[in-house]
Amino acid sequence: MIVKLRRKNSRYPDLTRHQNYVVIGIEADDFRILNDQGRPYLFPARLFEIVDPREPDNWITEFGDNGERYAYPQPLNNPGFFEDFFDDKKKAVTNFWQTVNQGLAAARAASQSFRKKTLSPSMLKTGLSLAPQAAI
Amino acid sequence: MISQSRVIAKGNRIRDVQRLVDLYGGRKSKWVKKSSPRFEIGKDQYEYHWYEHPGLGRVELKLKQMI
Repeated sequence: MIVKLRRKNSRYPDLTRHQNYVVIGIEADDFRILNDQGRPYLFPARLFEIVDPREPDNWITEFGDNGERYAYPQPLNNPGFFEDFFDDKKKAVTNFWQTVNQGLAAARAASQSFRKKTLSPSMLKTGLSLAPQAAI
Repeated sequence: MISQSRVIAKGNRIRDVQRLVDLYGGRKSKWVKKSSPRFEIGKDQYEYHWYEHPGLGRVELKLKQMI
């Protein structure tokens, strides 16, 4: 899933307008993305418009007591994982970056496949695009 | 510093969310764990971490020394 900020927001100077962001996971309906300093914080989903709604095949989706959604790849899916990450616990930091790098590589491959299926050869040759590309 | 805080975990992904609900009330899905920006004291870097729930406020503020 790829999103971008709807409008510049002074409350969130660590996000850039027009920049595409890959969603790492969904936590109680908020999006976890890497901010411009490379920190994986949660941001309200209402801040973003969805550029590419496709979600990775390896996301595990669960719903909480109030119907809120949680969706992460398995290695990031345990309660407390991101608390450990932000406590600089080595295992969580290592698992996080391995998983994110794998996800970005998969997203890149999916994006290229999507472009080939969507665009005619002449459009690919001239660089015309129907779909925004992820910043990956 | 609070205005620059960011959410690091929310709802069921907070390890102690059931304890927070039992102790302070509120809904699991509304509890968040937040972090302040990093700041320096001498040569060391620190962050504040705390829990927060709309209508209940901030609880359990901790100063964390970062490696």
